Amino acid sequence: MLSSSEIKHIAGLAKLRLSAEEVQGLGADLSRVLDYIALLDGVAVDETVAKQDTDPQTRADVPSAGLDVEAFLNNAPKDLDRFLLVPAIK
Amino acid sequence: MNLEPVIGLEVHVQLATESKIFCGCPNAFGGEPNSRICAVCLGYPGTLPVLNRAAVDQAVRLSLSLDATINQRSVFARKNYFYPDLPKGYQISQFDLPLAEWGTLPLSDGSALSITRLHLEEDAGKLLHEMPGGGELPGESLVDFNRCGVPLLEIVTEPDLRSAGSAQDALQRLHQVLRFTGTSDGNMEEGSFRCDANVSLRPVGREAYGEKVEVKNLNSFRNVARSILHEIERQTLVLESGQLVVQETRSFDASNGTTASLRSKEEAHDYRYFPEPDLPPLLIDDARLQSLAGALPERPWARADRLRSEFGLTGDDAHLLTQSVELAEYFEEATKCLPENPLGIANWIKTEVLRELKRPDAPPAANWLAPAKLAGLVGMIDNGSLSGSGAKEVFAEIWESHEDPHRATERLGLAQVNDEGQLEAWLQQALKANRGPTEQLLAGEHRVVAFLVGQVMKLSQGSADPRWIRERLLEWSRANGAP
Ligand SMILES: [Zn+2]
Repeated sequence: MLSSSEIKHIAGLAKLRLSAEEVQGLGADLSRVLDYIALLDGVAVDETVAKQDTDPQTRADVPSAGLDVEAFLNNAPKDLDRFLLVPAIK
Repeated sequence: MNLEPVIGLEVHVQLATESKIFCGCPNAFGGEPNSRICAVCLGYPGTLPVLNRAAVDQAVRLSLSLDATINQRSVFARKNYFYPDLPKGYQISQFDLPLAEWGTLPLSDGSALSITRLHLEEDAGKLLHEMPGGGELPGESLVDFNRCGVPLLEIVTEPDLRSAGSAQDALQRLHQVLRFTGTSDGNMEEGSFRCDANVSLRPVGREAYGEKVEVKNLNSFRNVARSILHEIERQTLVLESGQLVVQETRSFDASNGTTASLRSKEEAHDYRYFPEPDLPPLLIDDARLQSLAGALPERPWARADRLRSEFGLTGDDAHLLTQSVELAEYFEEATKCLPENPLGIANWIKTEVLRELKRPDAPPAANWLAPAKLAGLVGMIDNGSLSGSGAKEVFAEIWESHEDPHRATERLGLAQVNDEGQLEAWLQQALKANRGPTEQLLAGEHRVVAFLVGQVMKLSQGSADPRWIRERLLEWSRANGAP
């Protein structure tokens, strides 16, 4: 079970402000998620990693066209002169 | 209390590639904001990074240049933090298993600095806190993702430096290595070579390190030294007043030479590193490692050694001419045009060329006077068609205009006549026209020599070599009975 201070620490890193109830509820939820993921500890994955090792996916150093700035900024809440506009960081 | 500084460096080097590390966006500087972006470097859902082989090659080259041990299996890791310059919410870096470890950087004083690790990672985007033209931007910041995903090699040294001067030297040597190996353009103004310094103090003789301060925002070699000097002074005052140094990150302010706190350890990031599931481990097999090692460009110290043995330069001159790869190339190119006098060329570069390059408005290497033209100028002194002082005048004239040295010499009327028949004729004419002084010369009165040389120079309209005339006059007088 995750402690409430662990939950608050993780929330802080994710820049989330949680109420006392949310800390309680998320503590229980996250602990269940972690317990479920811990099932992987019992699975042998070495072979999968070994297969990947022999097949590295890399690319040649060739530039290619990317995304149009309009397409990108259409997904942004705010923009200015081709820049993404965000709240100032202190 | 006798305190000693303990200094280590962290350097981020942008690698010279055509495209970014995990996508095909061009790796370049400048241009319109957000003009080199794609779904991968913006971290759109469903996209996958694919590693650029050239970024790995450049990183391996630079690591090998520093005699580091390459880990033939290294692993990418996610470094998690939230910041608007990082669209994915994590940076792909390396953590437990970096690309290379334990390198060595030779320093100018003959010692060597140990390099702890070298790892590959992607650069973040860029935040602007005011308008590009300088206008205010209250409460908001601008984000440009062009730099996002540019390949970086982070180089971390051991905390073995003990002075600001040696830290500056280490950085300059490191910069020299990457320029000579062509692994980065090393442009500090454009952020291709960025440095942080870790500074702490401890009583002399104590092994344990003191609380360290990380100084960021160091954009020139000089500022690295200034910031370290300031930190040493500041931390000394703190410790001597009986207080403790706070472990924190500080930013250097070049306008007043001081540092100010950015964030203390309590707020320090918890990056929650874990292996990057989207990328397989990076494997470098023996064949690839050997081919990269075999084709490693000459390192600056090796080049200095070769200049000494191949051209007979002194150690100091070889060091001077290898301070930058451009200068070393310049010397060797000029030497190819005048193979019979490499030392003359070295002398001209050391004095005239370096004097020009020290000016604040010195041109970039692409706009230097062509090495062939410098060689042409030195060749004219060697064959007597131009005096040393005339050559300096011609050099000053052509350094910026790039005029051909022969043409400039003609145009300025500085051509020296080295046709001995013509010189002899002027000399005899001067002797005949000046009976009195000629008698005096034959009587052994050497004080008239200068006068007679002047007369010959007048007849030649300044094109004779006064040293030759002087010697010839004395020779003539002795042949005609002068004591
Ligand atoms: Zn991209």
